[in-house]
This record gives sequence, structure tokens and C-alpha cells, in this order.
Amino acid sequence: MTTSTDELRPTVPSSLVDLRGVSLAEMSALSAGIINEAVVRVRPETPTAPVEVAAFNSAI
Amino acid sequence: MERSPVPLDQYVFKIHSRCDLACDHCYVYEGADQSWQGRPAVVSDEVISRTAQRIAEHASSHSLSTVQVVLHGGEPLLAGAPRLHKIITALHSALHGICRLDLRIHTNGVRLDEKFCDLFAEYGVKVGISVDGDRAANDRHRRYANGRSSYEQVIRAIGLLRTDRYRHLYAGLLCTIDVANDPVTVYESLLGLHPPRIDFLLPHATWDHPPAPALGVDAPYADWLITIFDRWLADGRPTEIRTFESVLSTLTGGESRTEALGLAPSSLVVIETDGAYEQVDSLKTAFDGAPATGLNVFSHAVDVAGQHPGIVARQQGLAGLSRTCRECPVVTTCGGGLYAHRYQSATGFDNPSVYCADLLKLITHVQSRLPQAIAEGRHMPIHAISDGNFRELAEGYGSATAVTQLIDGQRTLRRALLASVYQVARAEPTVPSRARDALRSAWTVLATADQERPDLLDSVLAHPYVRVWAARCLDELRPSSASPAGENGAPASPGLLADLGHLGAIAAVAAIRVGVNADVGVPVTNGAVHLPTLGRLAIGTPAAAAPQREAILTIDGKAVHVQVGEDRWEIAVAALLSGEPYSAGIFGGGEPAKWQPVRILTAPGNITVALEDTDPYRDCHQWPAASRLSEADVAKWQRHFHDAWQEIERDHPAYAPAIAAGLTVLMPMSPAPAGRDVSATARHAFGAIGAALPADATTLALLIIHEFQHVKLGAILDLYDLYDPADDRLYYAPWREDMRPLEGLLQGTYAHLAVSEYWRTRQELTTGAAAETARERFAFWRVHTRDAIETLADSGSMTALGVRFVEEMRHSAAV
Repeated sequence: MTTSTDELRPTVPSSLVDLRGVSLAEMSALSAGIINEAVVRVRPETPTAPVEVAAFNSAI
Repeated sequence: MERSPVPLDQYVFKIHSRCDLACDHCYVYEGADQSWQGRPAVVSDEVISRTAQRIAEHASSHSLSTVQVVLHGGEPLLAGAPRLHKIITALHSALHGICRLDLRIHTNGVRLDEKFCDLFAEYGVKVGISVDGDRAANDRHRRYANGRSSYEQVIRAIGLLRTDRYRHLYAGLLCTIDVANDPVTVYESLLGLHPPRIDFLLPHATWDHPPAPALGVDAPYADWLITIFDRWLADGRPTEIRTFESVLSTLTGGESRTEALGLAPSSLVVIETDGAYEQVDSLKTAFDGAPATGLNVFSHAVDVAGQHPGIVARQQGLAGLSRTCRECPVVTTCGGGLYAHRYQSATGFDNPSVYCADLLKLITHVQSRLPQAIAEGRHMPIHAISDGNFRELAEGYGSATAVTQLIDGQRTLRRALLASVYQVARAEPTVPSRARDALRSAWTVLATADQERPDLLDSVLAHPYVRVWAARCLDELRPSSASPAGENGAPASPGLLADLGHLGAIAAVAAIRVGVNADVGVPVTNGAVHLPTLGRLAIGTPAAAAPQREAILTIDGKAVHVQVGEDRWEIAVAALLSGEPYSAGIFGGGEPAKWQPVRILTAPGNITVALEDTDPYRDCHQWPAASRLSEADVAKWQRHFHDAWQEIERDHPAYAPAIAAGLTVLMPMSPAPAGRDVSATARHAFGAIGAALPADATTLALLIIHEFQHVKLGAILDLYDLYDPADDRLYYAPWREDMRPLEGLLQGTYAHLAVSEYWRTRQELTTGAAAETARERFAFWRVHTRDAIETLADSGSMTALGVRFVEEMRHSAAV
């Protein structure tokens, strides 16, 4: 059995989720949470979107 | 095992139990529970003060940070402004000093006027309005008792909330679904009202009284919502739709934003006009008396209400669901749907939702639209650097491969920042509708360009000042900043609007480079239309007090047509991409305009670097940016850069590969004081170095080596936590008079590691006085760098990876 050397090469993992494979159109389908996780790495004070609202939702 | 009751932080306060409309789909008056008939029409002073007191007691004893109160009915505006004022001030007064009060009112809107809005503005009460879509959709159910339409009054109320004066109060629209209405028409008509948020609500139903069947359709509500979801996604999520946001959030590990979805425990209780505690009032559709608890604010604390079995039952997560739900693959997103919708008289609430088929179909569809890794249930990949590359970087060097791995991380961050600006701005109520529409248009162009040529879009987004721009927008949108957007009704500042408008400039460049047809608005800044990475069209200096102007760019593949007011210009795309200045034939009716391209510096080995003296966001380097350079100055930069690069490659080869891979921009700065050299980097401007042109190429080589250390370390810190950010101590930095925070010391040390090595090499390569100078500087910097490394090592604030990083620096400095 052969194993590629790349698979054996140790890496230093970051906590940054890799969004390079996510197109901008697909970014629309990502929850704000995933995007914010990436952004707060470089801007801890980033506002979250969408804003928090009450869970209650009955129309009158 | 049953969970302990959770503190209740959401209160639906019924302040009036009658309504001025007679909607035939209303769950309060048309549902099984008719308890409203025995309650006082309007809440009394005693109930108001007792309710406020009970809420405050509960918030205090549970140390709640925020309490949300929704003023509800019936129609709450029937209570009248004086009574509303009493309610609002009682709540504020009781909760003052205990916790934040998030106060909202849900209304049908027909009575909303300036008097009410002024009251709500005074106390920051957010207003949600019920409207079911266009006139035909709204008239289907939402009518007066005499059958008259309420549409005109509702639209007038929404118009009031959209004015600058009250926009910050506009919480959103609540639309009850009727599948007989066309979903796209409903979506577009609601979107046309520019709400910050839309709620699509399933009409209340139970297994005893299921929703009306749609002939030949298994899941008509799913189909209706899916039509809107697909359109909303294609539009780039132009506003928040709470159902969709909740499905997306829960599918990606986040929380639901509505009680109708997800497994989060309910923390809500209703207080009726007579002071009775009730369970969630959608239970009125289940059976007569279903929401009752037998408790009230006069005799019972909120804690007692919170222990009521009916309230506790909605806090049990998965364990509180039917077996069918527990075994369902989408249960964490669906959560069994709204509690009331599970009811059947024979089995109580131990059932899936009567909308089970619809929820399953909707959630499965949304899941299919997620990026592949998430849709397949896999974790998203994460960024990593090979161990060898990390060691090289920590030692102060770095191969092209190592820097490429840092660039990969920057690509993720730029895309995330771009999406964040778009999402945060469109959710910001003080951003006017026109600006939101412009953002949406720009985003659509960017998404199209990304679809066609993601590599070319990345070349635009990789421009260092795109990230600087994004960070600035997020700073301005931050609610806690000194001049917050959206607080106290202040409209978004012209500066913020101009900054948000720059998304149009980025989109325009993407369209030009990819060859996509587009119409976008671009702000005119300092008398120019800026196209990042390409240059700027100087159209003349505006008067000091001139209002912010906007250029409309029409891009058709061959030319870019620019219109500002009555003035028009046209520039060939080929000319823009050539990098050549362009003036003749550029104007077609307006004032003369001049295309000022970004000039490119070159060096042997196909090295190219942009000499960036046009970008409006470049002035971020702690020393003023130079204004547009003359051709003679550019020629000097070219000579110095050419020679500096040759020197770096020849004399400092350990640093050359990283710089060649990562340096994209030199940003000319204003001349330094005599005898000083000035250079700088900015954390958000990866790939850029700012510098005042030094006297010679050798000095420029040193500045580039020094500053690129900061570029590398900034990108490393974007990926890794090397130190504890909570350490707010200041440290002695041997090369500065002032004390430095830990990150500043780390940055300086890493940069001077390279500076020491530079002088060591110079000492070996020069003779005479030059060698003596190099020897002195090498000795100076080596000692200081070693001292700083020990300070870092002794700080006790480096993470495990940070300790390794410092150890590698120490190893390198010892050579």
C-alpha cells in the first residue's frame, strides 16, 4: 500500500473555516453564524447580522 | 429526565383584548379558545404596575441581561397613547438598573400615526406590522367588520415607519400565509415596503382542524415558501426572512430565531389584560382554555408561572417531541414545529406538526441549496499551514508556498468580510431603501462575476484596500461605536452611505474584468470615480459644501459609460485594462475628465507591484498618503524599486520568495521629515506596504524587508492565536520610548529579527565606513531583538503555539 507524503505531512490547523470553495451566491445560503465566525477572527467587535429579535411570532 | 425550568425573558403583554379589524384568520377571535370575551378590554393601572414589578423581580433574581416585552392584543394601539405611555414608562422604570429592556409592539397598523410614533421614538419601542402581501392578498382576510379593506391604512402606517424620522423603529412585517396568494407577488410587494425583516407565518391549525387541503398537492405551504426562498436566495437575501434564516442557521449548527423552529427551550410567557399568566397564545387554536395556567401577576411570581407544566413542556428539546419527530433526520431544524400545531384531541401534543410534510420538504430543499460540505453533513474544511511552513515563518522567513497558504486564509477572510458588510448593512434600519437597493444590485453583479470567473473576482478582492474598506464599513455599522448607526433614530451618516456605495465600485471593476454587463452606482469621492485596482476618473474638484454625488456606471463589455448628473463620459474597457492614462475623447458632453490609471512597478523575474496612489481607502497607514504622483516621481519609484528588488534577491535571498509571492502594492506616502525614513503597514491591508520614497534603493530594500515582516505576521495572526488578547499590560520595547501592548511588541520583534539579519548581511558585503555602520546597527538590533524575544517568552501570555513561535524566533536570532 502506498500513502502519499502529503497525507503524512503534519500541519498546524487554524480555527478559521475555509470558505474559498464557497461562491458568493452560496455565501447567501450560509448562516450569518458561519460568516461571523470567520470575521470575528480579525474583527472581534464585528456586529452580528441579523439582529437578535424575540422568538415570538404571532401576527395580529 | 426533565430539564429544569429556564428563566423567562420574553413576555407577550396583552394590553388590549379587542380589535378594530375582523380578520377571518385571526387565532384570537376565530380560534377554539374564546377567553378574550371574559377579559377586560384594556389593561388596568394595577395590572400594568404589577406586571412590571413581576418581570423586574424575575430579571433581577435570574440576573438576566435583557428582557424582551412584546405589547400585543387584540390591537394594542386601541389602548391609546396615554395608556401606552403609562405601560412603557412602568416597564422602563421597573427594569431600570436591572437589565436592558427590548420593547416591541405588534400592531395591525391602521391607527398608527405620528403621535404614537413620537411616543415609540422617545422610548425606543420597535414596531412590527401585520400585512399579508399586496392589496389582493391582504384584502382576502384583513378587513374591517363591514368588509372594508384595511390595506390603505396599513400601507400608510408602513410609509410612516419608512420616513427618516421613524425608520429606526421599523421592526418588520408579519405575513400570514395563504397559499391561494401568488408567492412571488406577495414577496415582491412586501419587499417593496423595504422591511428590515419579514415573518412568513403558517396559519394556525391542528390535527383536529388541519389547514385547508390544496388539491393534488402534498405540501402546499412548502411549495409556496420554497418559491420565495429560491427567489430570496437569488436576490442575495435582500432582507431577513426569519423562517429561512432560522432553517439556514440550525442546518449549520446555529440557533433558531423563531419559536416555530428548532429545539431551543421556550422562555416565553403571556400576560393577559386581567393579569393572568398564559402559555403561548397560539394555543388558543387548540381548544378552549388551552393556554390557561390558573396563575396571575397578583398572586404569583414569574418563577411560579415558569414551573407550570405547560410552559416546562416547551423547554424539553428533543425529549419533549413525539417519537416520529425524534426519529426524523431534520428534527434539530424543525423541532416539531410550533407547539400548537402538534395538537390532536386524542393524543394531546405528542404528535408531529400538522405541517410536518411541509416542514420536511422546506428544510430538505434549503439543505440542498447549502454548500456541498454542509449539505452532506460534513464539517467545513479549515485553513492550515504545513508544519514546515509554520516553522519557516516563525523563524522570520517563509517560502512562496508558506505565503500562499497565508494568502489562502486572506481569501476566506475577504469573502467573509464582504458578505458580512452586505448582511449587516441590509439589516441596518437606518440605511435608506435606495442604498439597500444599490447594495443588492452590486452584490448581484459580484455574484455573477464570481460565477463566471472566480479567479478574476479574487484578483479584485485581493486588492489590499478592499479589506480596509470592509473593516471601515463594519466599524461604522457597529451599534456600540461612538456615533452609532441606528441609535436614537439618527439616519445613517453620509460617510457610511458613501462607504457602502463603494461596494458598487468593487462590483464595477469585477464586471469590467470579467466582462459582465452591469449598471451600478459608484460614489464620487474627492472629485473622482474610483475603480479599485484600475485607477480613478478625475471629474473635477467639487465645491466644499457640495452634496455627496453618485456616478452611474453602465458597463457593456466594450465600454464603461459614466454619468454624474447631466455629465457623461465614456471609456473603452481596453483602455481601462491597459494601465495607460487616457484623456482624449473621454468626455461626451460634460466637463473634461481624466483617467488616472494605477501605475505598475516592475523588476527582473516578472515581479510586478502596483504603485497605488488612487484608492480612496489607502490612507490607513499611520502616515499620510501622498497625493497623485507625477510621472517624474513614478520614474524615481521605478528605478528604486527595480534596484531594491535586485538587492533583495541577490543579498537577502531568504526573504525574497515570500515578498515575491505576497507583495502586491506599494503605497506612496507623504515625504518624511528630513533625515527620517517613513514606512508602514496596516493590519487589514494584506500585501501592501506604505512608504515615503527613500533616498536610495538600498534603504527601500530594507524598508520592504522590514515591513513585509509585519504583513506576514498580520496574516499569521489572522489564522492563529499566538497570545492571550486579554493581556492588557504594556511592555518595554527596547527600540521605542513608549510602552507597547503585547501584539505590538510581537510585531516589532518579528520585524527586527529581519532588520538584524539585514545589517549582518550588509556588514559582510560592504567595506569601510559602510561596513562599520552595518556592524553597529547589527549589534544594536541583535541585542534589542534578543531582549524583546525574552520579554515575550517571559510574558506568560503566549499560547502554546505562541510559545513555539517565540522559540523559533529565538533560535533564528541566536545564529
